[in-house]
Amino acid sequence: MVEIKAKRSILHKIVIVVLLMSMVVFANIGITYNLTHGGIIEELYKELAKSVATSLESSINLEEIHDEAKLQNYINKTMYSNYAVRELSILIFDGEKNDLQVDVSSNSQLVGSKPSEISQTAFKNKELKIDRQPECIFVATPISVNGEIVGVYEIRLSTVALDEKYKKQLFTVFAGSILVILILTVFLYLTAYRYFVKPIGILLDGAKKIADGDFTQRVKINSNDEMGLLADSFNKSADIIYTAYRDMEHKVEERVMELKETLEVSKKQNVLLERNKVAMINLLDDQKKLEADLKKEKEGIEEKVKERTRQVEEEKAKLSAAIDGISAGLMLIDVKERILTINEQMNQMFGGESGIYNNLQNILSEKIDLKEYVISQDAEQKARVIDSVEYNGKIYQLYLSPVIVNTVDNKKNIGITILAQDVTEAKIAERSKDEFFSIASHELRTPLTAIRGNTSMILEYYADKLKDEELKNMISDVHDSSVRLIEIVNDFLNLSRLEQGKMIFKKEEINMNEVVSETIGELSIASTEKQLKIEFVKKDEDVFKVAGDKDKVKQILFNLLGNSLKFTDKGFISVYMKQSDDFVKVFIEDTGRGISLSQQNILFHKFQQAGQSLFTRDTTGGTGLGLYISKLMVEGMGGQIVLEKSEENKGSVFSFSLPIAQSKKN
Amino acid sequence: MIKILIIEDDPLMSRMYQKIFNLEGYEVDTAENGEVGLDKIRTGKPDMVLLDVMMPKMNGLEVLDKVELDPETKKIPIVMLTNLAGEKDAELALSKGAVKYIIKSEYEPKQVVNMVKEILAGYTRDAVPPTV
Repeated sequence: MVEIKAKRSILHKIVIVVLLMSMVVFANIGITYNLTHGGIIEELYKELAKSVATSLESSINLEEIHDEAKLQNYINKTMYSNYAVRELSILIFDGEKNDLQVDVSSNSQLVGSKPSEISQTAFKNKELKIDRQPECIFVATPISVNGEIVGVYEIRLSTVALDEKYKKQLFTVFAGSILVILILTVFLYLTAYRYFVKPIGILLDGAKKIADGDFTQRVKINSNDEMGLLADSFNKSADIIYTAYRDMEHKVEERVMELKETLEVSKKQNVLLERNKVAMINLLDDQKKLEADLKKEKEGIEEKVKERTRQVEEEKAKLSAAIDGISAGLMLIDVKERILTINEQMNQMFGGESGIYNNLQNILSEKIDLKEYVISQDAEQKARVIDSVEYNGKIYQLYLSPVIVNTVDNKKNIGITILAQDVTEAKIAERSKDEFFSIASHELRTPLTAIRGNTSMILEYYADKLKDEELKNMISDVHDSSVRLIEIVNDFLNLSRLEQGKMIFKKEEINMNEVVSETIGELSIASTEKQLKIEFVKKDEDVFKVAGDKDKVKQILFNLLGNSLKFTDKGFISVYMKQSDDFVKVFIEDTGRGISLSQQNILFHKFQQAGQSLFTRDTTGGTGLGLYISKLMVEGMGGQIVLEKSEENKGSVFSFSLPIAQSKKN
Repeated sequence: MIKILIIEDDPLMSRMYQKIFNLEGYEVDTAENGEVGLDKIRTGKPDMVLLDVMMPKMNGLEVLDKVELDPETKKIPIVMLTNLAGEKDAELALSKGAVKYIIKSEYEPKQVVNMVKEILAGYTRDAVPPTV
């Protein structure tokens, strides 16, 4: 687009010319009016008349006013000196009688005539009077002698000469004006021609040539006004048209070429079509043969459809048989809450008067909003397991899972499957597990206790009757075996409780000094047997109090000290404690055989003794559950158990921590 | 001589504890269930009762309740001697008035005797046989 700058130069020129013309016309009208309607000329005449009167009074002594000769002389002088005065009459009246006493005039014909009306009026009114007549002006001036009006002199001035002079001047001014207007008109015409007509002509010419198809045509206007801009725009438009025209021409050429090619192809295709036509005719001949074949094939397809239908029916039967055959209840429901599939078991489990779906909603209402889950079309919906659903005296476990259809562009949830399993038996079994364990352990321990107790009594009270050393050893082994079996039963029972989270940990304040001392005391028989001393290393002022379960803490200590006793043959075993911010740490150090690196890794694991070294295990016995149980117990009380360090054949240091009792801490 | 009553339904246990207490110089009587045991407590007035928990007819805890309710028998120390290792069982028995809860399998018969001796020391100091 061409930006047109708002240069108003042409308009300025026109406005100036029109203003000038208007001024000339108005000046002419003004001057002509003034001249013709006589304000100025009439005044001039009056002034003339007055000056004549004044000069008369100054040149003639009033005492001599009646002297006709002198008056005549004055008149002649005035007439001579003032070309405008054509006639001059002086009339002197007798003031009282109003009789004409003196009558002199430049024109002898006027003498003796009756004084004019204005002279009489001037005399009567004692003031100057002027009367304008055609081609003539009368001025009547009272003559005053010693304050008395003695007469009037009347000057008659011819205006013909002056009128002619002014008329001449008027004509000159008017003619001048006309000339100026003419010049300006010519100037205006030339301006208009130069700034409007010529450029428009050039533009028109250019446009005409372009219209005739000469797109290279450009116009040249050297001006920076609107016409210049118009020319620029015209040239730019012409450029655009020319470019477009050239493009179009080029495209037309291309199209023509393409059309030619298409025509060629068409010709070739026509040839092919011709050939096809022939082929088609041949084909039609084959049609009848084909129809016969098709009939045969159709019969074959019908067979296949029958076969497929049978297969589908078979699959369906298999599927429903499978669904009906499983012991779990199964139901498929779509997002519009319509039941698609349901098996008999499901009906038996949750069927009712209000319909199985409503029934399920009520039964599950405390655990899940079934309706919301069903109608959700969220493809990311997670499967849900709903445990312990009690209904009609039975316990069920329900599995809800969305049916997700994977299409090419998205996933869609079209419904859910509900699988219900009767877990009543399992639940009852689980509930009685605890009971079972305690009974089982009780039943196992009673005969074991009898073996242990009786053998120990034989060894102690009937030693004198056991002369045979071998027999004595055998009884001793029976005794030890029973002890070990009791330990195993205890371990299993404890482990079962710990793993099921059924072990209760009391949270009481324990004086660790007491617990350690007691435990060492209870192990005194075993330590004495091995000729080892368990030392409790502590300062007298140290009192360590922790929060935990005293029996469990004792059991942990038993386990750790028992291990130390088991694996140490010489040296010492010591217990000491340290306190950090929130924990008391108990260290159990021994000079035993130590633990190999490979075994350190499986320490605190279930059955660690029986694990890797199953076939190379030493004779120390035990279930290998001791450390694992200790670990669970320490953790159950909020502490940690670790192997601080261990070196083979040098010894080990175990530690466990327990939280400090609150009262102590505060 | 100090009189111990062992209320125990299992003959294996009954015989064993009878033996050790005899060997340690106590006079021992036995009862094979709770009912008989309660009768013997009332009639025989033993110095100490060793009471099993799981027994036919009347279990040990029921016996304990009845003994503690009867002012005649209330002062007789009752030691629970059982293989029920549950903590709740022990707590319950102690809350009902038992003076000790001993798990049989945890101790040698001799250790049980020693514990009984310690308890009796608090009751009848002069009559307790010296520890062997």
